Amino acid sequence: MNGKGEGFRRALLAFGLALAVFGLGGLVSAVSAQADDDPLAGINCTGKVTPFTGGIFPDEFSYEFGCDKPITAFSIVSNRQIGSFSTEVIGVNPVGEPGPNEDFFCVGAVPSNGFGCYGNPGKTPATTITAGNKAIGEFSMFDPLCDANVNPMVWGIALTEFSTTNDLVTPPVVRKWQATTEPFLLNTSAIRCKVLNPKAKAKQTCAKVKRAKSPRARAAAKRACDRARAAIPKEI
Amino acid sequence: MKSSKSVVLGFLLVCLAFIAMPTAAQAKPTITISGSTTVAPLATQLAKGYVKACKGCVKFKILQGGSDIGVADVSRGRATLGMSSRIPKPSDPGGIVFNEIAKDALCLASHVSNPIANLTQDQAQDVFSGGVRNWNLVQGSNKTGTINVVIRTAASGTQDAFDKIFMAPKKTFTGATQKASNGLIEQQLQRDPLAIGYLSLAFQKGVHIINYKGVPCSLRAAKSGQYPGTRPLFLVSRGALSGASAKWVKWIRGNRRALAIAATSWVPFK
Repeated sequence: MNGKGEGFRRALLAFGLALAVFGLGGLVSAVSAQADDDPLAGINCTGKVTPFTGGIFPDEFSYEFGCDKPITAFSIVSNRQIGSFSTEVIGVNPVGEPGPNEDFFCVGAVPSNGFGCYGNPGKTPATTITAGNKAIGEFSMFDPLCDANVNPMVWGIALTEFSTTNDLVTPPVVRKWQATTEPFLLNTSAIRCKVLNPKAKAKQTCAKVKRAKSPRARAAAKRACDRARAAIPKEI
Repeated sequence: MKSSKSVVLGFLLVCLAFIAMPTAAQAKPTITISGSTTVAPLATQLAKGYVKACKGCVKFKILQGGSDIGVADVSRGRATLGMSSRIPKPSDPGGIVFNEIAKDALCLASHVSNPIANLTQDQAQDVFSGGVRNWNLVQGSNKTGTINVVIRTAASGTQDAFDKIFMAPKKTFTGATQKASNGLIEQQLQRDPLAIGYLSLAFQKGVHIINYKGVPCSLRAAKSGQYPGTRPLFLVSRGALSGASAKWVKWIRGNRRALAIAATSWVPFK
């Protein structure tokens, strides 16, 4: 394919993606606002991100979220670059037992700002995280978590399934639909940084050692510099 | 009118941003890898480690689908590298090269309430071939009832490796439950007290791991070469490795940081 055609395809793809994310999200929210009894209005998803200690890298996190509609695919996106992610994610019920048909594969780019997870498309019944169950997985940030001037934020976007019933006809017709949720923010309070960008802060603090005019001020600046350097997390 | 114009302009800007992103990314080579669900967790960690070590010299795209899919994708040029947890098959397409990057241990496993201490090769073959169908005939089991044998699907490199290492010359039971990934087998073994299966060493949360031929399926036993159920993991290339993928594989095989990443759940390349 020539470059022009490739560019056009890319533009179409980008347009489609933008439409899928912003358009459908917008549609869901618009419909939600208009009619409370519409099935789309009831899609609620919540989740959180917590530190994960069993991983290889120091900046690894566990995420979990669930929706009140069955999930057939989902994406996790962040304002920080993601360095790795668990390639298999399992849905678990409220008591922590894995669901019978809730195994998702995750794919994506490294590094990037997100990844996507999907069930086995050829499987019958299709892989689905049951409403009320939670998807649980892990990911790591590409850079140390606090090496930025903003705290990390993580969103989920889920492709959910619901059905509508037309009981104006006999027999009633049940139709299945799919819709993406709006991006929902996962609770990241457990991974908030006490000190943002500690490397830059240490550099600034340590620069004061040279500028100190008296031995006493220099010693105080040196102590502050050591403390600032100690706040920098160690990388593998 | 003015506001609707700004909305359209805003939307176009968003679209332009989407279009510009892949163009900017093209400045760096992208290594697309697809295939084995067993190799994928290791490959993801090694990809992150390498991008950090080479200061963003490449970008990776990670897909899955099973070892056979990885081999097919790389031979057709759909992926730069295929991930495979099995050795080459005579039926594989010509011109592909299997580059070993680490070893993995295949562990026999059961439900935690059925803590079988050990299986010999003959016992394992009896159970997985369907020759023995009831738990009361299996030494060390505290269960009675039909054994639910859980195996991987045919496209899986793990299934191929299991057939060669544990089963040959016997065949696995045709009535066994087939699962598409390690995670699904782990899930089944967590739920079903009468199930037995096998999975990669990296997947053993909430299941009982059975010793094989008297040796525990542990990272330590696999690294020392004592555990007899190890198999190589590969990155498959179309022809000899070249360019960015050659550099990555060289890094995986020789760099201390890469070997440390592999050593967390796998046997690093020697």
